[in-house]
Amino acid sequence: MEREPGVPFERTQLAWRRTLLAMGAVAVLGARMAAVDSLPLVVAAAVAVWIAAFVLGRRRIRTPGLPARGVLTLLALATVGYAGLGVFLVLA
Amino acid sequence: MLGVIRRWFDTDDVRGTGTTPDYRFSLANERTFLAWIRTGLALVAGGLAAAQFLPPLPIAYLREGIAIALLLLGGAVAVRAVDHWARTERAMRLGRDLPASRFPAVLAILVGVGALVLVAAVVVQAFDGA
Repeated sequence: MEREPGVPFERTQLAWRRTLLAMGAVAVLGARMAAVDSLPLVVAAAVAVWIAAFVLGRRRIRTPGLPARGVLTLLALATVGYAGLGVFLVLA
Repeated sequence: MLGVIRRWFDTDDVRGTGTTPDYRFSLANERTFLAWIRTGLALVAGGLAAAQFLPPLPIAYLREGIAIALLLLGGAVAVRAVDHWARTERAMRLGRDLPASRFPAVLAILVGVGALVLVAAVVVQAFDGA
């Protein structure tokens, strides 16, 4: 019971790491697709969104307790953004 | 509708209602949210990969259709994840039952039906080629 307080938070930290890693893979796929279509600004946006998510996520997992305002929504919006980027590139 | 969206960003509003539950429950809710985001990211990755790495298919625009369907499904999963997180947090604070959801069943049926259609397409193509 002594060590119990840290364990749920450590699990949450690991879940964040997995999620950011998965988002990195999606960012690479999106950036590759934009690079093939010669759209350097879209490549930069795909990478920038991942860097922003990485920074926010790292800040989240360094602070025990509950997530800061809006960080979960921003993570979901980043996912929607990658979906939108994909739809845009498919239709373009 | 706007109130719902405001609640997604304004976690103080979520925290202002009811009483703070055991922090372990809140962390579990956050992890469930993250697992849904990974599900959404996997669908988006599938869509991006289908668009880039599938060869052109015999049916016109089938490849693009598959890619866009996966991308839209991934986006929908991510939006639903925030909404479900906020509603669960609220329910825990107010001591109410957790929100019930048909979404996992709908998603499972969509993915299952999509897989069956693709299996049928592959079988038809194999017999046509023979």
